[in-house]
Amino acid sequence: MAQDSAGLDIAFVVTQAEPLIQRQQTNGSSVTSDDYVGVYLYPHGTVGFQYAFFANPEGTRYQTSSENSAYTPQWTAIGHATPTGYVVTMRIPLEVIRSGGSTTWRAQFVRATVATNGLASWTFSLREQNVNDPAFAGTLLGVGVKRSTASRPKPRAQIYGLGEATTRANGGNTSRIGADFSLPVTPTASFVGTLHPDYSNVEIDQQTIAPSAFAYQYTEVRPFFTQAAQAFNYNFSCSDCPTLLYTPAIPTFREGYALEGTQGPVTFGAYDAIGDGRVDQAEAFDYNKETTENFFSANFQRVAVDTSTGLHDELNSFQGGINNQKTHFFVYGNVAFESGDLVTVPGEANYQEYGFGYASATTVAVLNAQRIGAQFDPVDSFVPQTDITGYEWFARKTFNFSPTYFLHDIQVADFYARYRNRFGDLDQTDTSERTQFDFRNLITAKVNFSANGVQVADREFLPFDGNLLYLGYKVNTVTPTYVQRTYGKYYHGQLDANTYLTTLPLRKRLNLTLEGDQDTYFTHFPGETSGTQWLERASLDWQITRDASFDVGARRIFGPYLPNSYALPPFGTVKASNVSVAFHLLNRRNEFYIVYGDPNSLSTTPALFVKWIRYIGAPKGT
Amino acid sequence: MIRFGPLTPALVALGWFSSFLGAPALAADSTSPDTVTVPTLAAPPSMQGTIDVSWDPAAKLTLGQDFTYRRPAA
Repeated sequence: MAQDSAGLDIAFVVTQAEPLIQRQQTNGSSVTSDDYVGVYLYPHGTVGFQYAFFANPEGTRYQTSSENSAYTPQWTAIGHATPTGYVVTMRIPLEVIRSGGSTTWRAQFVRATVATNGLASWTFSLREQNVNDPAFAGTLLGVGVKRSTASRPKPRAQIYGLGEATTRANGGNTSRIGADFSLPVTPTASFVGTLHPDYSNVEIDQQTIAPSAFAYQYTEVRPFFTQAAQAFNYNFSCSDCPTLLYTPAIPTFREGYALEGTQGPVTFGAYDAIGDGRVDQAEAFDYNKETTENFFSANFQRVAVDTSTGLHDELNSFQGGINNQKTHFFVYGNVAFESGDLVTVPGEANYQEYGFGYASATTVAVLNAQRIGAQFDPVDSFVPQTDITGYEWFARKTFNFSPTYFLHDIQVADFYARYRNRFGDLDQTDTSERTQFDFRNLITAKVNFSANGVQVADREFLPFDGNLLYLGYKVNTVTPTYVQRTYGKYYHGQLDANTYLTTLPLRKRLNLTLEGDQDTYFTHFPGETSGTQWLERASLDWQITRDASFDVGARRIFGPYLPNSYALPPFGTVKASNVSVAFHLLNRRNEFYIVYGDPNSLSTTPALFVKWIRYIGAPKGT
Repeated sequence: MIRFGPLTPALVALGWFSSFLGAPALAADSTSPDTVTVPTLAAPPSMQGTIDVSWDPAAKLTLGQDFTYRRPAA
């Protein structure tokens, strides 16, 4: 490792006898599903922003940072196979890291090998739970002492122009422009804004028919929230807990402003999203302090919604805990209080969770008590089930064997929960025992017994079991294949759900994914009918270059929905198909999308989008 | 009604028994972090995915521990 006047220079020389797994060709998160090398950087030690940079043996790269979930600066990684393994050289510009002028950084270097499940690291402690824990990382001295670039981050503006060609029935042709900007106010804090934000980014297909008693939760992709909401929802621990800030619940807004950053052990964030007849505001304050002896965290958060109809809803919360690094024992507590026009009985609009346990790198055991009031359902939160009071027990143990043993690891887990509603009736129970075997030949097998009961919308207490048999191959790589069967008592009948998925490497840069999901509900209950819902999906992924990709996706879902706990029957039926085609290119200053349709919509969106984003100043996501 | 799965005793026995199979030797603890002064080069070294003389002044670190198996890396 070395540095020049403007960047960190790192070379990994890897000796590896096992065949290299290096499928990913376009930069992205799947790099860490290959063999890879990486570096974690902590410019302010155990506090402040954290960064990680990874590359596979071909030099395909990926990076993450706690400053922005869409952190995508330009940096260099080049890799080549050698007779004894591979070499990767990296150059990380200092200007893409908010160091605040710090010259003493913590760092960890790692190398992962899929074939052995090995994860080699520079520093190591039996106390650490994760390889990337900064308290146990090494120290780099003199970083940036002769830097030629300013340590203060650059402002960033991204201006987009978008054209949409579509049918008159779908709203007709249109075009629009807008902008996002980020202005540093200190070396580690920024003012962020968005004007006329856009939502036509290529989204991932999040549609699923996986059996669940509860509503599905979706991932946020809007750029404003990927940066502005980073400080939110920090908790020390929680289990089956509400998502206190669920930004996908916030509808399209007109303009947004935020302040986010870190200072010492404090991470903070605040935003204001102004829409038509609605304003969503939130503030978060996180205090985290970690040493090799203890870890302490506290999060205070407020989320509020006001509408032009006079509705006001507000959520104030505290989440915190303390962990002893030596003994691995911890205690934690989470409380949240909703108030406003939707709350008529304040005592029924609270969430409380308290627990203690043990957590090491291979063992977790937690006992907690939890209460979610009958009226606790904040407008900008995601609450799977209300009106529950009870306790949970969870334990998981991973037994790792030798890399040369035919079995790499066995994971066993046990979960038990029991809840009652405010009338004393049982309204949720969970009992599951999970076992997973990971073999050296990359076969994974799972056997789960899962008996769950939930009080449904008409107050009947019904089973939603999810016993599982699973067999997969290369499931943690870019080309997974697996079959699984989920079965058991379900609602008034029986569930038999099967999933078949494979990703086939057609050429070096071309992958074909085929998926078939089948949910069958058998019932003889009066008024109900048996039925099967299908999801069929095919997608072709052409990874043209490190910066460009082309994807074609087709999906159809048809048949009756499975019963669930939150709606009254009938649960409806669906017959929908979706086709989407997308080209994406991101280089240093420009990002292009040419997209037909929307991968995440239920039915095909008959529209062609052409979008250009120009980045001025700092790179994307910094 | 609470229903217990049939696997609890089997899982405990499996966990106990399997802990004797192919178990790796524990790594030594290293609670004092390693420290390195990052050398400053006059110009960026070669970025070709190969090691040449331009990398000679670089600090050399060894990824000597395996986090998964908690033993010296192979």
